[in-house]
Amino acid sequence: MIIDVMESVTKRTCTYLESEFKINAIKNNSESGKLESIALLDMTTLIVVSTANVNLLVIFSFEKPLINWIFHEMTDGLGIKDYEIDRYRKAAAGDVINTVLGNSTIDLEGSEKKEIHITPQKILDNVKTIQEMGYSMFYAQHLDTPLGKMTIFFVGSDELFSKNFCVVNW
Amino acid sequence: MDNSDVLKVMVVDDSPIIVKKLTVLLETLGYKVIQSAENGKDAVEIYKRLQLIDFKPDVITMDITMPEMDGIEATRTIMNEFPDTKIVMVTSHGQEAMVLNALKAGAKGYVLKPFDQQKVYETIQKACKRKVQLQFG
Repeated sequence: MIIDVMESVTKRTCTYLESEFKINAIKNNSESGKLESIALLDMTTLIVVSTANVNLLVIFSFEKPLINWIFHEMTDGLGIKDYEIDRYRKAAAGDVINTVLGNSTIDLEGSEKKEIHITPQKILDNVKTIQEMGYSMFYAQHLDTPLGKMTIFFVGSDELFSKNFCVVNW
Repeated sequence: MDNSDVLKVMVVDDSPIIVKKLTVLLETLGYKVIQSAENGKDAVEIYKRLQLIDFKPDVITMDITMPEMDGIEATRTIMNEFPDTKIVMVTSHGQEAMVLNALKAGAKGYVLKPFDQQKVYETIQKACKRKVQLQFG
């Protein structure tokens, strides 16, 4: 079920932020709505997760101080030059979503061991809204950290989010 | 250890951070990173070029999710032409189906991101049939 995807991704995000960067992330409120009302934060990265039945757009959106800290921790000791900072900060955002979603496939393959595909990540810097063909609804889980906010958006078709997220088989 | 004992490695990953992190980690372990590529298509082309000049890596670390050509397709392509190649997947994909696909394509080992030094070392040593020394705490 789609709700399993949301729970796995949210839980693994919190675990990853704590274990890799010592960032304590706490679930705040959640909301759902039409895609045109989505409000992204300062840096955003997205991946499409798909099985034979489902296409789901998963978006990680970060406030600037949070992604700056993750970037700093991830690249500490790697000798990043000043002119490389922008590129590597975007890469840090991409690595977070790639690692979390890749690890979540362990939870989601189920007993039938279905194949779950994830696309390479796409980075959106200072973009506040998105429009993607075939995606119309979103569910958002907001996370609070001492370094700033992060929101995980799950974006899909109306059908995917109908009846409390429990109709469509993952 | 003379230079002939130093394993030469090619790192394939679309994340520049992972390329740098793996390079630092592998060189700390005593390996030599001789080349990197940011997608599967480039990896295949670079590997073929290195074969031509007789400077091929002893092992390739290969991500799975990459643009242009994914790591499983790149592994299959390289293994079809050069069946003795040692390829170790280094990826965030943990699902069993993906691990099996990688092994069927010819990968000799699998490391899950976020990786640690010991696991990377053991997997590369085993892929290259080298002795694993207990050197980490």
